[in-house]
Amino acid sequence: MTPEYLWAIAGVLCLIVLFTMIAVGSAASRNDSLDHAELDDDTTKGAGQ
Amino acid sequence: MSFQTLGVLIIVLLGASWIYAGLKVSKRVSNTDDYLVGGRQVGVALGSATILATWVTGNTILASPESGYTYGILGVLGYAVGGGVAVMAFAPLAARLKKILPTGRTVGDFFRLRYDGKNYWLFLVALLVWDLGWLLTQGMAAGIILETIFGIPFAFGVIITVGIVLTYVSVGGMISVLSTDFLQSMLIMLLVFIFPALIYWQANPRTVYDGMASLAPETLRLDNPAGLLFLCVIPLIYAGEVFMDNTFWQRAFALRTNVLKKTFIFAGIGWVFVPIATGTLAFVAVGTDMELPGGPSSVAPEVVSNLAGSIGSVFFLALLWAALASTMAALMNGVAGIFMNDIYNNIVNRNATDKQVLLAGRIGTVVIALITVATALQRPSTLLSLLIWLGIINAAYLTPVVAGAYFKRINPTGTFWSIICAITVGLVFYGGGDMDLLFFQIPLFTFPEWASGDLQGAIVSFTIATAGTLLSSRIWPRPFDFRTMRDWEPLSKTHS
Repeated sequence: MTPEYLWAIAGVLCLIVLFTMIAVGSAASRNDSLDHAELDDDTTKGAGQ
Repeated sequence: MSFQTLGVLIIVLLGASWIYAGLKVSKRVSNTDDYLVGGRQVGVALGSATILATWVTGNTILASPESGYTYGILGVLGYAVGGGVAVMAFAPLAARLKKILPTGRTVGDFFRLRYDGKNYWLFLVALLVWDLGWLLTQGMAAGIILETIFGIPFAFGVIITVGIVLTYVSVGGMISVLSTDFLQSMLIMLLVFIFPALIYWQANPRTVYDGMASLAPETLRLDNPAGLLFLCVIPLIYAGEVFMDNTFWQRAFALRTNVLKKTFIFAGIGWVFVPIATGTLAFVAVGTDMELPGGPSSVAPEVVSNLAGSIGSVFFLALLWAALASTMAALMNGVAGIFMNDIYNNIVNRNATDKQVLLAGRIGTVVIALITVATALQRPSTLLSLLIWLGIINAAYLTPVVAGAYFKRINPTGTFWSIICAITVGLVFYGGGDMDLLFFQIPLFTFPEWASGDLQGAIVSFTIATAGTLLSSRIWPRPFDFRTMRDWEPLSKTHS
C-alpha cells in the first residue's frame, strides 16, 4: 500500500468526521431551546408568574 | 471583421446586457438588507442559479480539464464530486444559520457573536486575504483569456471586465447580482453541454478512447494512487472554501427559510455536471497526444483552438467570461459586505444609519474594484499557489464553523489556539518540513516526500483544528446561549 492510499484513507476519515458532526448537530438542534414556540411558552409562563 | 474585433464585440454585447439587467432591478435597493442579502425572500430558481453562477468560476472551466489531464478520470470525478458535495453539505448548516442568526448579513456576524474578539479578528484577516485573493484570480483570468484567444491587451481585458461588473454591482448589490447570475447561469448551462459534444464530434470518441488506452493507460485506471488521493481529499478543501466564504453565507441569509436546504442541494447537483463536461475536454488532449506549450493548465484553450475553430473559440469565451463575471460580481458584493457590515458599521462608525452603511458599501465596492485592477495588472505569479496555500486555512475553519453553529459548549480560546496550531502545522506539511509562508520559507524539519504536499497539509490542518476544538471544549466547556444570536439586530437597523 503506497503512502498516497494512506493519505486518501485519512482524507475519507476527515470527511466522515465532518459529516458526522453535521448530522449529530442537525439531529440535536431539532429539539434545542431556540425554537420560537418553546421560547414563547417560557415568556408566557414568566409573564403569568 | 477581424477576430480581435469580434472578441471585443462579444464582450461589449454580453457586458451591455448584464449591465442592463443589473441596473434595471437596482431600483429595488432601499436598505442594507437589500444590498447584501437581496431582501431575504429569494426562492429556489433564483437561489440555485446564483449559487451555481458563483461556484462555477474560471477555475471550474480551466482547472477541471487540468485535473483530468493530470489525474485522468479520477481527476474529473474528484473535481466534480468534491465541489458538488461541498455545496450540498452546506445545506443543513445554512438552515441552522438562518435559525440561529435570522438577521445575519455576513459570516463575520457569526464569528463576532458566537466567538470572542480574538477569534473575530483572526477570522476577518483570513477571510479578507482569501476573498481578495480569489477576486484577484478572476480578474487576472479574464485578462489572460481575452489576451490568449483574441489578442486583446491584458490590461484592457482586466479593466473592461472589472468595469462592467462594477457598474451593476456597486449600484444594485445583491439584487443586481441575483438578476445577472440568473442570465449567466443559463448561458453557462447551455454552452457547457454544447461544447463537449462539439469537440467530441470533431475528435471522434473512439479515437480518443483508443489513444488514452495506448498512450496513457493510467488516466483510465480507477486505482491510480495520486488520483485517489485527489478524489478523497479535494472535497475537504472545497468544503472549507464553501463553509468559510462570505458569498455562500450571504446566499444562506438571502434565501427563504422553507426553500433553503433544497436550493443548496439542487445547486450542488447542478454544479457537478459543469466540471464533468469541461473536464472531459482533457481526454481529447491525452488521447490525441496534443502538444501543450502552456503546460497542463492550458489544456482547455488548446483543445478548443485546435478542434472548435473560430466559432468554437467565441462560444468558449462567452462561457468562460460568464463564469468569471458572475463569480467576480458575487465576490465584490461579498467583500463589500464584510467592509460595510463588519469593518465600517461595527468598528469605524457604530452609530451609522442604514443609509450611511449603504453608501459605505457602494464606495467600498468601487475601492475593491480598484484594488483588483491594480493588483491584477501586476500579474503576480503566485496566485494559483495562493489559492492552494489558502486551502490549509479553509480546512482549519471547517470545525469551528460547524461546531460553533450546532454545539453550545464550544470553548472560544481552545478554538482560537487550535486554529493557529492547525494552520501552522498544516503549512509545515505543505512545505515538506519548512514553514511555507508563500513569499518565503522558514526551514524547520526535513520531511520525506510522502509526508508533504498541499493535499496532505489540508488533512493535517483539519485534524488538528477538529481535535483541538472538540477536546478543549470537552475539558473546559463554555456554555453559550444561541438566543443572544437569534435576538440580535444589526447596528445600522437600530440607528435608522
